[in-house]
Amino acid sequence: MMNSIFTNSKDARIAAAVTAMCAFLIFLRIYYSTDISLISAITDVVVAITLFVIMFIAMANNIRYGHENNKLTFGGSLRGGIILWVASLIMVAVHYAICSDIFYMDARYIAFLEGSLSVRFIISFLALLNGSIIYILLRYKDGLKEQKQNEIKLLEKLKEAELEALKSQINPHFLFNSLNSISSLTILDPDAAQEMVLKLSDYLRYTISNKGVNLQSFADELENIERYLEIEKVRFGEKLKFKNQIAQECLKAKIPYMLLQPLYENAIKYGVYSDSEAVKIITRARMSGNAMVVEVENISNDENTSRKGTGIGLKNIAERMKLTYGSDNLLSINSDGETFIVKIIIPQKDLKEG
Amino acid sequence: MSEFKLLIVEDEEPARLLLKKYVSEMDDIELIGECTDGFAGVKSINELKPDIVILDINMPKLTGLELLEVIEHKPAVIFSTAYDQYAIAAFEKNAVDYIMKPYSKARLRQALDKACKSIDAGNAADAIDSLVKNEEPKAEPIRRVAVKNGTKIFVIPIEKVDFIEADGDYVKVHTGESTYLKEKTMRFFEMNLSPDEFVRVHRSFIINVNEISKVEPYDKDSHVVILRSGKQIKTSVAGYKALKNCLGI
Repeated sequence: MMNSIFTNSKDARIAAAVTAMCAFLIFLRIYYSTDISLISAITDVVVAITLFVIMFIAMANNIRYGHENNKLTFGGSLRGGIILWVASLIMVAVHYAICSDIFYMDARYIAFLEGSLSVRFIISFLALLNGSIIYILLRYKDGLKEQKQNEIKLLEKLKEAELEALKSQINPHFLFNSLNSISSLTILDPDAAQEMVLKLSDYLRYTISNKGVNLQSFADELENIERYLEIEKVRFGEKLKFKNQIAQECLKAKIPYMLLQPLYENAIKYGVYSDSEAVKIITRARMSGNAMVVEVENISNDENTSRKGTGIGLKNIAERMKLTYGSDNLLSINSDGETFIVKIIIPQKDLKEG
Repeated sequence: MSEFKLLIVEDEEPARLLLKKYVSEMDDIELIGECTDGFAGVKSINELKPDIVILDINMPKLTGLELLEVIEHKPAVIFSTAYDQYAIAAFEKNAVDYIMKPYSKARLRQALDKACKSIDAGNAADAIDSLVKNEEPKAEPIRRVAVKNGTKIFVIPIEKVDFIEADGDYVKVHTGESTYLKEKTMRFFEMNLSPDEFVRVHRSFIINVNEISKVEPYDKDSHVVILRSGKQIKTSVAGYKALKNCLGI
């Protein structure tokens, strides 16, 4: 019972020791300064302390489970005061009922009992008040600890998410396949190998260095996408074709960092691999009012290419759009057998973060 | 020293060129062909009957793993992959040899030596057989099934599969138009098909839920699923529960 009230056993042991000490002091006080018998003094104290412990446990549970909101209010304090008052009254009444029943033939004790009722009430009230305040302070201390732990957990989660995002940006398939192409080219065509190492370095540098900044200029993003596609083109040759139709004013527009990357990875994964003919990726961008409209179109001549697998990449994009712009209708997908178009509207004002 | 006939199945040109260069410097290996996609790979393996195949995993039309499921001639296989942790786990479990791209000539030589040894010992096909029978769940649900009908290979998108039926050591894959026999277990399909689209409604049946026309009570404690094609499939008690779960009712 005590363990369920106190979150650690040390607090529980201290509370028990203090209670026992008080019980002993009360016993000394009433046994040596009155003329009642030893047995009645001991019984009196035992009953009183038992009642106190029961009341304290009830109150502690009330404090613990009663209300999560720990703000100090007048209403709350008043209610607490009334509860304490009633609890003390009940304690004294029950104590009186029990002890007067046990020692009904002991006139001296009954006289002592009846004479001390008002003092008992005050002492009970103060004891419960004291106990409650100490208990509330203990809970508050534990609460602070818990809050700190929660904050640490939240921070860890955030870091994990960031790491996850970073990991997904450097796709290991892409990295190792590129290294493999370079390995081949070093022997077959050293100049091409050097060119590819440079492109890959630039791509990796861009991917890694910008992790903290969310918004990038579209010109930078576009350049990195082209780098990515050129690296992949070394592997896929004529099977991969791409072109851009970008309105000049879009180059200055801002776009979440690496937002479009999954679209190109998907196009290659599902286009080039399920189809041995060419895959064509067209990137279009134009301004429309206060927003940039980006369309990534992916044409493959295989009707059976299953598009279900594109879900994760698109979900990621949708999630980031929602986090950045607070809206979830900026992304749309249009697909008929051969072409697959993802259209993304990127607001250029009223950003949640800049 | 006898010569071993080698076939390369690899879609990326730089990788293929380097591999050819490495192999051209080896006396005991004779390169008899190269393929750039899985379909061509199946045809060449069956026709040219190579001793050893170096097989890429990610390829157009048919992956290296799907290729294994439909070939008639069983050569010694060395997989090559840049990064595919699920496939690698399966290779290791089934003692199938693989090389990680990029690889050195020495590493290639080592793999080829191992393949030659297993051919001489006459157990080259064993590892492949156990890999094909592997039932471990893959990284993501499969989206297509490679089947053969006589000498023809078909790749069926799973949307076109009506239901899958157990048939001894094989399963029958039913599409609207035909039925194909495949050497896989029901358990394999149960674990590797998307659980949102396919449900095992009976010990012997996995159905495509998008093909369901209606579900009716059959007798006291069983139901019957009627597919769009008119085919009726009885459900088991557990199967009906799984079906209700999948349909959210």
